[in-house]
Amino acid sequence: MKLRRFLPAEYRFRWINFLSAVCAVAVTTAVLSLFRNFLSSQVVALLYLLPVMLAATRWGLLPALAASLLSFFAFNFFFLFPTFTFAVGNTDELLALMIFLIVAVIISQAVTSANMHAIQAEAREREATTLYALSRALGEQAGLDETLATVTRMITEAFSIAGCEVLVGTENVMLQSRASFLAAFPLPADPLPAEKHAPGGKQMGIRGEAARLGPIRNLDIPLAARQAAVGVLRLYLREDDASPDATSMRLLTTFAAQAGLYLERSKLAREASRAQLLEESDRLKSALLSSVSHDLRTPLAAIKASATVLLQEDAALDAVTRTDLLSAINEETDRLNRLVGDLLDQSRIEAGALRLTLDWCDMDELIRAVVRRLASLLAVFLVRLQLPADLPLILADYVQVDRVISNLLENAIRFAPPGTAIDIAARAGAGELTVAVTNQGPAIPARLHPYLFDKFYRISEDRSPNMGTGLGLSICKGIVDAHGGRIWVESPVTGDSGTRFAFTLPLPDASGREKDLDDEKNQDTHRG
Amino acid sequence: MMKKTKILIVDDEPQILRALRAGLIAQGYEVVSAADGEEALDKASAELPDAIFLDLNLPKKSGLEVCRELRKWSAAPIIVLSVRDSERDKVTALDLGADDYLTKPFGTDELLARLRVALRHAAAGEGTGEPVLRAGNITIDLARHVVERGGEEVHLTATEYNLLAYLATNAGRVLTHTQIMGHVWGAGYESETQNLRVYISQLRRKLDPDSLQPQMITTEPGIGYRFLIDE
Repeated sequence: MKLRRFLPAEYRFRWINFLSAVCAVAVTTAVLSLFRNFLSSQVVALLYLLPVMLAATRWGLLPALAASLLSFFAFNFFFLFPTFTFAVGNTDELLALMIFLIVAVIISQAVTSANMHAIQAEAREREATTLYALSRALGEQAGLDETLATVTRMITEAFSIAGCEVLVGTENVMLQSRASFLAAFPLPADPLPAEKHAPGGKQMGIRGEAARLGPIRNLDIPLAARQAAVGVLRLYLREDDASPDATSMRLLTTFAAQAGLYLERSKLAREASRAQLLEESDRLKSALLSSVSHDLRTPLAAIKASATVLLQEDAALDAVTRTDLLSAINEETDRLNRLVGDLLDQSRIEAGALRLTLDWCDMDELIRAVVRRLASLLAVFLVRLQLPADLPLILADYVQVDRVISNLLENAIRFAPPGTAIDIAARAGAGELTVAVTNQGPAIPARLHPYLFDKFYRISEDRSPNMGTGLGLSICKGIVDAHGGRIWVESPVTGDSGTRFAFTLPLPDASGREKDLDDEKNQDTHRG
Repeated sequence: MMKKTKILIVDDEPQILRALRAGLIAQGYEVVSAADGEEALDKASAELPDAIFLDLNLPKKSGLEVCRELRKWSAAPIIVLSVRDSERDKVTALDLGADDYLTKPFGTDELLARLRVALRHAAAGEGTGEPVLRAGNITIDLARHVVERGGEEVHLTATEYNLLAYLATNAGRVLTHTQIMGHVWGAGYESETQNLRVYISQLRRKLDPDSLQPQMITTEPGIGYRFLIDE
């Protein structure tokens, strides 16, 4: 198969080559006959070497030998006295005839063998090139399916076959097609060929496709790996394709082994990264459990205690105590609700399942809504808002951005001494809107900054109800990231105190908002 | 004896049914309940309740489906009950004709307040209430199209007035973005929330200069707006 392609067409064993050799000798004989009176027998002998040379270079050893023998007889029959007989007149001429035959045979062998060597060298070079190209394809940092698709294409092209397919699996597992290529009409780069999706599971696929070009047969070469074969390299040969010769088989086997190792390596890499992920998520899960179980149990314990006291039939509770217990149940329920909400948000962000519902949002409105909602907590602080009147609208998820601002403001409140100022500022810059929440609490040491947005990270060991869940900033970061913004901390802000948390949200391209407003202003004012 | 107001509660959680029933009966309401979507429709046609609390997550027939079926023949106010993060469902329910929503967990005080607003609104009917509405120091004279703040007339553009009038005549109820835009700007403009944001912000500036105090127009995150008026 391979050599067939690399050899000149004439070098393959064919009757036409013999016929050509015979013709060459016949033509030489005819031409020489025209000049027989002017040529000595020695010159004729030399000229008879021409068709032999021609046959040796062009048509191979056997036609060359045939030409040699034919020339030998033609020389004897037409040019040596007595002409038109195979008898030879004297010993000199007999000697010349014999020498001619020997020289012709030697030339035939020398020329063809030189040619063969050149061709083999070329073939080996191509072989090396092909193997190198295939190996390089395997070495590239492309995805598995992409790489295999390239490989099947290269093999199909290098060996001029109908198609090629890589099937993955072992004896225990059904072989599954991972990549395929078909000469003339490549299949879509679908990891599963079309037939796998076809109703009824009809095995049509690449083989069926290839068969449309004519009868096809398979040649399977195992993809050997260190331990066992990991799959099969399947070649589709046309009816007239010769089976691969020893050299081609060696090349294909070498390559199949490389591909096998590649598949094994990528499988091991996948398994390794999966194991790493599992280990990581296990570690996180246990961190979560230890942190959360305390946070979840505390409000539950309070609720349970209050409720059971209230249920005691013999307990003599005054109205104040009853109200107190009921308020405790009410407050702890809110705390539990907030914690469950935070946990759900966090897991949603981690699972990449945070879906944003983008809509136009007025940051001014958003910030004021949060400030109003937290009014009772903010009562002991001096709240300063810096909200320019011309703040542009943003395209964001209102509910999620509300959570970010609420979390930042709650944090600011938590760590600020009562009576100090809390600043909330928003401004539009180049392509983004920045919101900053600044308090005048103690500074956060710079070495802690990198951990602030990690989940369950808490600066304070204090786990009292107002100290948060350790998820707030982590959720903020998740939400801001999902919007394509940034979030950061600056501390200290002035002197050695104050902490500022700021985040950006991308601004949409210049909107038609201003224009709409102008249109409206130009209308008559409505006065009824 | 005056006929008691009848409330239908639809929820598949027996604990919720128990708590709501107790809270409503204590306030003098008559209560019937249903535990799934099909039962909800049966009870609604048999009992003809004055208002319905409807959980969205129901077995047999979803709350949204029940809401749609009910609105084919019943005008009784529907207050939807659902959990956090299901804004889309809430909006769908409201656009299907539900009157309000409550996010679980909610307090009984909140539940009763919503119920009162819904019942009052149902009794008054659309736009047939008071010709003059008051909220804080704001007066809206619907007959004369005049808005005053502390006795001073406030100048509003046509769109601003239409927006305010629509919100105010539906005082206490949540209105979805789609409902507001469909009503104020007309069909085909329901998706231009950008404009709505801008007009709400302008209205607030004109009516509510001290915006850190509780506002007349409150934002219902991800849902719409609600106009608060003195009860």
